Amino acid sequence: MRNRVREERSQRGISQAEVAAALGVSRQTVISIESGRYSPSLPLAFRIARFFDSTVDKMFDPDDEVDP
Amino acid sequence: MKSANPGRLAAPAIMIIGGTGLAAAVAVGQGWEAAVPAEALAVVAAIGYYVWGGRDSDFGAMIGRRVDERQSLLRMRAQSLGGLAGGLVALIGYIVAVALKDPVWPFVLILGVQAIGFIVGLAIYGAQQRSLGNPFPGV
Repeated sequence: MRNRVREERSQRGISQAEVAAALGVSRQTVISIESGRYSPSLPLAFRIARFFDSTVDKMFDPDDEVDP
Repeated sequence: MKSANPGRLAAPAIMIIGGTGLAAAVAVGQGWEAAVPAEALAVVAAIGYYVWGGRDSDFGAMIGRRVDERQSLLRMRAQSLGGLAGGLVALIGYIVAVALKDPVWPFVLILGVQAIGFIVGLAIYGAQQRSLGNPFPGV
């Protein structure tokens, strides 16, 4: 599932570790989400969307697979 | 995500307690000379486990008991694979034991515990899922 986490994070100039701390997950999980290797749970998806002042449907696109 | 985590001490403490129990058994059976290395090994393993539990990695998070949802899923999948492999080996062992007319009860015990554990797990976690309800009321 493609997502906008990396783009939003880069725009704000914050690190993966900072995002991880804010979301209460590990840095490895943020890396996995950004690369599309892990699709977060619905609660985490909501936390991500809220963190970036966005919505789940804007942050995640289930119809668009990430290229390996 | 490196923070004070009392859970990180749990596994090493269990290792030291278990290792001490094993060392005591060795001392009873084989004498103190054989028990000292067993206890030393348990202490070294516990220290190594504690240090590894503080590392910034998936495995470190699992050992340090500070997993997030992805690491929890990863751990469950790994445990599932381990259980499956153990069951398969027990099944093969059972077949070989039957062929050799050796005692089969250890293999039956392992397979039985796995089967009962699976059923109990379904009952426990299925019930928990039902009781969770909507995590986002109003959404």
